[in-house]
Amino acid sequence: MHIPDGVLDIKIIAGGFTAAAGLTALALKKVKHDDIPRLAVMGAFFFVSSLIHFKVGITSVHLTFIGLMGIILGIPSTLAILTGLFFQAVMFQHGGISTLGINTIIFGLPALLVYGAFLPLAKRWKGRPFCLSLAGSILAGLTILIAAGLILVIIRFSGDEFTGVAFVFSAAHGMLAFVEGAITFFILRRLLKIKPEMLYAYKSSPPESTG
Amino acid sequence: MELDQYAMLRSPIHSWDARWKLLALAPLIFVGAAIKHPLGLLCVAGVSSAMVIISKLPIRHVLKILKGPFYFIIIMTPVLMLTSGGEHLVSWGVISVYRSGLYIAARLAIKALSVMLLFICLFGTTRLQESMKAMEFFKLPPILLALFFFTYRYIFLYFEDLGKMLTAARLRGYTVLRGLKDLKSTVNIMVTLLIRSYEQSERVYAAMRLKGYTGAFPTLHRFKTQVADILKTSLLLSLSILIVYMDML
Repeated sequence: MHIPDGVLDIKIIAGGFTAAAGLTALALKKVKHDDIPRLAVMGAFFFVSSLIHFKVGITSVHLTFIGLMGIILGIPSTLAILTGLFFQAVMFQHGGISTLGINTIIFGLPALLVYGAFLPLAKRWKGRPFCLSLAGSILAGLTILIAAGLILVIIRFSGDEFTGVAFVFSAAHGMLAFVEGAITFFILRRLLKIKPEMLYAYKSSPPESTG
Repeated sequence: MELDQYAMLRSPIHSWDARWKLLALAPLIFVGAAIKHPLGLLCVAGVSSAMVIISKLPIRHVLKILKGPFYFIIIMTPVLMLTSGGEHLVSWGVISVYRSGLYIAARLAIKALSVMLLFICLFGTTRLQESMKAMEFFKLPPILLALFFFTYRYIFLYFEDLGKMLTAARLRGYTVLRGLKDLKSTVNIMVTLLIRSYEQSERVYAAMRLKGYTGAFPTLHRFKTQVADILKTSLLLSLSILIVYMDML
């Protein structure tokens, strides 16, 4: 679900890099050198998960974990997404170099929205991992739909010729939203049980009880 | 697949100072991705192909990298031909195949492949540490560079760990990553991988800090500008400007 090279107009490419630079600057303000390993691990996880194709019926979808990135990393998730996208583009040609900025926005913005929505829930539902995992999974599913919507809008703004393709590919992401939501639920359940301190929202205030 | 596995070869592209190379190729990549003029497109395609030939990179390596955009184009072409609109090529009832779809697909193919070829020349002919150093020269934040470096390292660690875990799971009779029926085993593998890598990264980082790591990239390589670097960079920058001018006419 990345926009490749050659599809976008120069104004959209430039706008994408400007907006991505803004998000990156915001994330850099929140990051210290000690956060680098955590971000790098998640960036690599984001990269590797995009190579995992999950068979659903007659088709297959590849995971993204944008929602999980937002929940685990918070505002700095933009940095991990940016690096993950960079290596996806250069090592496996998912996405593109010129579209790195706009793709960072497509993935980074929903991740931030999820973080913003998850943070108050994490405070309210301390010690209720099931509710929290369910909320996280619904938010993760929604991120896919938001990202697909963003792709559609951006390509529409860039010109008419790719609108049909964008519609076809965006429609296919309904299934991905479901699969990713389901997997995020189980991952969050396990993380809240085994290592809740990995979640950004829990860093400053660990849960009262887990299980 | 390592990004810089052929950085030790000798060619005029390899000997190009990484800073000047970045200065010349980065604008050309963007010009190549955004250009609309057919002649400009062919110009970028010609230059990128010539540079790959001059760089003496193994053709098998280049084709392996180009496989990704190529498959993407193969998938896109029929969709574009059915959805792009304009003049009909053939029609069967409500389904129409449009001529413009073919033209758009060809343009997309040239753009995507040219950009990737330029990128191979940029990062495939210089050691990653030197490329990072060049980006540092252009004031990319050190934290971002360190993050790029660590992520690159962890990608290989993830692949290694994932390979071992998948083998272990299969030997125990589990099927993973095949579909929704394998959800439980897949999630178990992913969570274990995530937590194990997270803990390992913290240990590695602590060890690096103890050994004096401060976020800087110490390399023995020293940049040295030569006349040839300036000439190559000027040539490609002029070409980028010319193509943009051609596109604006």
